[in-house]
Amino acid sequence: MRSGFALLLLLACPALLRAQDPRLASRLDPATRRMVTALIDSAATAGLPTEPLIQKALEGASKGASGGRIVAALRTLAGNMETARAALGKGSREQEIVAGVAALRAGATTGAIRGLRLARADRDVAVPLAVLADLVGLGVNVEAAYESVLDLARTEADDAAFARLKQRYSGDRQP
Amino acid sequence: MENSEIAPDRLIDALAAELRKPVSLDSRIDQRVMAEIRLTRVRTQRRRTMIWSGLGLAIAAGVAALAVFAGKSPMPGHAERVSFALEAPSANHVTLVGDFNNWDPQATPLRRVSSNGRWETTVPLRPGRYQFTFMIDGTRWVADPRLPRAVDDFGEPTSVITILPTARL
Amino acid sequence: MDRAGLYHVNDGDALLVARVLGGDDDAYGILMARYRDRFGRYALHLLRDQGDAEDVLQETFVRGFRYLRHCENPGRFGAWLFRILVNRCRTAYRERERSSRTLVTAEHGPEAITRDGPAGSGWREEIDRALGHLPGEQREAFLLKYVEDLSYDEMEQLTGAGISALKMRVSRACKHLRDLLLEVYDGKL
Repeated sequence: MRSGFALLLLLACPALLRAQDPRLASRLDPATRRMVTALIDSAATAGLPTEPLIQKALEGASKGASGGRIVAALRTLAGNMETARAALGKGSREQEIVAGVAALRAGATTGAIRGLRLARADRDVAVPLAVLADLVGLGVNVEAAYESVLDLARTEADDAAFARLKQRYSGDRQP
Repeated sequence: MENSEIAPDRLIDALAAELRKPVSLDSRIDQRVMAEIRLTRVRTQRRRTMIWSGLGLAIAAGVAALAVFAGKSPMPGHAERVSFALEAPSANHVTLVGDFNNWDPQATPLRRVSSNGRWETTVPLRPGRYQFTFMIDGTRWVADPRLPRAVDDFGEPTSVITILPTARL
Repeated sequence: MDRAGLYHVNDGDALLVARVLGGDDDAYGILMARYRDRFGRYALHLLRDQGDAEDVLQETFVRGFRYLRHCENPGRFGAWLFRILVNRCRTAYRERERSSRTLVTAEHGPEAITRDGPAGSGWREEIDRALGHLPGEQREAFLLKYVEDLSYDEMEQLTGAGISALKMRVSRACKHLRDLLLEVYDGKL
């Protein structure tokens, strides 16, 4: 019992864990909050973006998910961010990692992410990756979506051209 | 002036001749079109199923949702006013919930704007990729059927909206 | 390029359209190569902006592909696609006018027309500016008549405007262009 109490104190110790994000305080039960904060702390230490993790936890809380499910979703997301960063290479920007995660979760391979990085050379690939993810989210087969985005990337298109690619597919503009 | 009468016609002829000369355009247009064509092929193959599933969703949920760009900021990186609208005639209360408001179900209520049950709100959003859903009467989550879906972690639908810093979309 | 060719039946186009409808995307590439220069020129002169013209051209080709099965006479694919282009140009023009009316007016004041550079040296630039001063409908009618070399019947089919209205637009455009360019043109002779 004493050791259990000590463990709880240790888990909650601000010297070992980053300060909890105030947004989490009122939205998660204490046990979930501690685990979520620990995951966020690990991500920060590894140099990964933390805001997507916080938002994922808040999303789970709003949608009434159990603590276990929220923590599992955060673990998956943190793993996806590491994978995306590895595929994008050193020096990848936070928004590229976030968009890379969206592409991965949509079904793109790490090879596809690397392919876009190579095709865009030293330019930001956040928008092409986000458009790739969105196209799949609109129902396009992931291989077809990747080929289209890659074709466009090879033409040195700007971000607006990628947006138009998606818009023309989704038909969310006037006819 | 001996050419006072014929000069104007010569002028127009000379003008037309100049305008008929070839112009220089980006040679990559063809490649870009081919990139879009690949998608069109996929879309054509999927068209029927997409239309029917969209209708099914709208009828089943009793709603039709859409998100529209209300205005554009001319400066890259500045917030744009993005309007969200939902048709939910039987709803008593509708809110917009997403990562732009920390998934707070109380933060962004929609207001009923028409007798046929149209609800609307406008949110300033900086360029970025956002996830959101509508919440009806505190219990029902509804995604926008026209926008991409995010992969769902918690058993409720989520839409994705992307705002680019470029002024012209 | 054959200036009047758009409205002639072209068996080569019909064959290519059939190939595209059969799933051969490369055939569409050949059709694009056939029309891109002429269509791009029209879009550029009408919109007077390289980026806008390229966007419209790209959009036209994509729409042409997407709605190809609705092309009732594949032998006149060029004319059918040109109608799409003309409509897209109109839409782009209107959208731009709505969104940037003040900017356009401020950027090209009428006084700039005859004062920029020695007569004869910037003929092309003066033409471009003069075109920019024509109202959209006049510019469209002038380009269709004098640059694309269409008949009034063809223009009527294409634009939906009546022949007498089109003649009026062309006539006013010519008068406007003469007024704006005569001084420069005389200097050029």
